[in-house]
Amino acid sequence: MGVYILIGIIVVIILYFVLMYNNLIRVRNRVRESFAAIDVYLQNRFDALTKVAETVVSYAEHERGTLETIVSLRSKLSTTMSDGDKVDIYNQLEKTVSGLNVQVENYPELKANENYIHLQRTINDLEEKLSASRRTYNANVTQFNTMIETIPTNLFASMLGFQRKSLLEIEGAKKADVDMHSLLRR
Amino acid sequence: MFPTYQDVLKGLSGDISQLEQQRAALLQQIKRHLLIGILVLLAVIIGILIIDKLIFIGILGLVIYVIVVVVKYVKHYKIFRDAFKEEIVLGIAKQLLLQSELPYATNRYRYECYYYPSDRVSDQLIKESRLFNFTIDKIRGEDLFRGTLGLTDFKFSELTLIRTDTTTDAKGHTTRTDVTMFDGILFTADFHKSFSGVTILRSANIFNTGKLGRLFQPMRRTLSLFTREKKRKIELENEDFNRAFHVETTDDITARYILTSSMMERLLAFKRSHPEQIEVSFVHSSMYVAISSGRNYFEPKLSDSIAKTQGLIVYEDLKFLFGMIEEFDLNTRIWNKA
Repeated sequence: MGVYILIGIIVVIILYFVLMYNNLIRVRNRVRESFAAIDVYLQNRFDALTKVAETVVSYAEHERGTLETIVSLRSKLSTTMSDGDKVDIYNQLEKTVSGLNVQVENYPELKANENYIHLQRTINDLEEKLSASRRTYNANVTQFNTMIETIPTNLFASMLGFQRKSLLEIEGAKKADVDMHSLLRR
Repeated sequence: MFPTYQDVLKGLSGDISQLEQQRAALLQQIKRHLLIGILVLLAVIIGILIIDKLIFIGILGLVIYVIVVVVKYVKHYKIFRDAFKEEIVLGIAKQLLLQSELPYATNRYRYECYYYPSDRVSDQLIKESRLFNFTIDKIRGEDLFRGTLGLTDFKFSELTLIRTDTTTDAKGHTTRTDVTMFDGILFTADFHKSFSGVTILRSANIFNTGKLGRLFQPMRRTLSLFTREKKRKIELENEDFNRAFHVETTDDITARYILTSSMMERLLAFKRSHPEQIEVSFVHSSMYVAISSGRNYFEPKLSDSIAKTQGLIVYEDLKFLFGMIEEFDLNTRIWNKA
């Protein structure tokens, strides 16, 4: 009788272990999937911003240097690059394009251009999707971290190779107030 | 944004005073017939007390009188009701849209409204909303509105959804009971972003949120296997929103794309300002709002003045319904939908 009880307890523990492991895998895969979505939207935004730069250059030839910088950044992107390197390139692109958007204010014909308006909508949409995928990534990471840090899962998580993940945070430069005055003087 | 009630009244093309006279005449008729009816009943009772044999003739006469009066009243009331719906309800709806001043209006904005007093939203639309996951045996509805306000197409009507429960007792007798599962308004509008998938917001209760909600989650997941899409419960960053709504979606990213911080604030403000049970869904680029109020909208009453009371009620109801388009900022089209 005692043997059966012992076998029962062992089976329950094994089942619990299997369920816990499967849950961790499931959540970890959701984290990876949401990070991949961020990458896709960033690439799409990169492409859209390149088209914006091309449209601006057709009105303002002196911005050609900016377009060449963007094209050069685009060519550096590769699928084998680490996530950190990719994020660096995306950040450089953002800085390059932000100055370009301010210059557009000087060209009312460009602002009314159908192609430009369509591109702006596309970029707005991609920004929203990017924001949504970042929020999803952070939610999944929070769930994952909570699982591996709470009892009793934390007893086994590190043994099985599950490590805490970092949340995506806004860069310090973006949290600071924007100096519109110096931006518009450029 | 919307004109005042006084401005709307000024814009009405029909003659309200004629309708008021019709209402007053109908009310007088009812009072007169009621008085005559009471006198006839008294005469019949007295007649029966004097001569017993008159009982059959007396009751027959009374029944014939009542039937004639009711048929005449129903006919006149129907004429009055049709005129009320055409002149007052449709008139107010058109004036509300035509006189509205929407922020950031462009020459692409349209202000159109069509009203079908005897129609309701289609069965297909009810099914597409994904808001009614129970058996529907009977559907009743009326007062269908459709049109465009600004850049947003909308449609709504009154709706009553009924489930018929069948019970059999020990002797084998079957009893059918109609249970009203929903009684209110179903509103749908073209959302300001294009998206695929389904996201549903249900008013939170103890069975779908909090610790008890998590306990019931495996059961809901099993039940969802038998529905069209597999949905997952998600929690968003706004704790007040999570307390107010239980959110299920087929895609986490799409749900967050729709439910930005701004949209969550708007939905919360909407829910707080309206005590009725409200459920919302976002399905393939459309937004659906089910407002469970139990009221019968847009029906005339003979006892109240049209201009002072009834018209004002119609105005407030339509302002609330049309106002949802601006309340949820559906005319802002800066993303992938023009």
